[in-house]
Amino acid sequence: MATLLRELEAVESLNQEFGLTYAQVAKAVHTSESNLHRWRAGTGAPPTAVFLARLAALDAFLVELRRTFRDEKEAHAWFASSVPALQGRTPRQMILDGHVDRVTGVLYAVNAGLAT
Amino acid sequence: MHESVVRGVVYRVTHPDYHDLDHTIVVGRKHPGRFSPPGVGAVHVSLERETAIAELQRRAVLLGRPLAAFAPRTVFTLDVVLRRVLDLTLDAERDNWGIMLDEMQSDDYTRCHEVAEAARRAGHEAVRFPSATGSGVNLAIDYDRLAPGSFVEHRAHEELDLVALDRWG
Repeated sequence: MATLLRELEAVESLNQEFGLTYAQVAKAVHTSESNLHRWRAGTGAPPTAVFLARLAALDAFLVELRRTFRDEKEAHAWFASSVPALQGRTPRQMILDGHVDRVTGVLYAVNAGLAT
Repeated sequence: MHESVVRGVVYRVTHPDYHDLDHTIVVGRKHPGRFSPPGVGAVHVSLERETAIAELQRRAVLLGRPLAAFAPRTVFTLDVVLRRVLDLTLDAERDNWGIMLDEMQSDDYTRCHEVAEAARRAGHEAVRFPSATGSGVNLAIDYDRLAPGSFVEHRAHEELDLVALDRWG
């Protein structure tokens, strides 16, 4: 595989550590699975600015998630659990539906000490 | 325009990575909060230590996990002087700004954002508001546009015992 941008490392983490398929990650950033594989392989045109921003949002989510919980086990458990602040939906489902910023936002709120 | 002055000690409970207030507001611009509209990134503090901790406990409930599941949290004590504060703990100010108590405790931040944006335009540097935890008072500070003579400075910090908080509430 070609040298990964930091943004593409988030794709690998979501696939290898959190169990999302590449097709699901592609859906989360509103692209095709073939595009995603081309970016991963470093062949063809690189991601445009809009896709880089969406990939960066996935990376920002992972940074905030790891900052939130004491260990990977807790982070993984939360990722798949129903969350009251997300109206009972799971972070996993929210991300698959393209709402990664919303998930990152609820994590930022607890990490940065925002009032409820 | 009525302006209150806040002078004294305030508290915030955060992950240690957010001890830096500039970093807090840069990230916060992407993530709105109460009286922190999109693009603003206000710093939130509580006037009482126990309120800051209660806010963390309420956040944990909203995330659906016990505090013991969280990474370490730090209580930061800060000295502040804020000269242009909109005080929404006052009935008269809530009337002036068209916001009700229940709207300041709702999970829908629409009205809070509307008032915060108007307050910024009017030159306020912070909004003082009752905590949605049910007791205590918070401040949303526009840290990047403090008035001359105003300041927010770290004084001390201590790590919270999250396991004990889970056990004793």
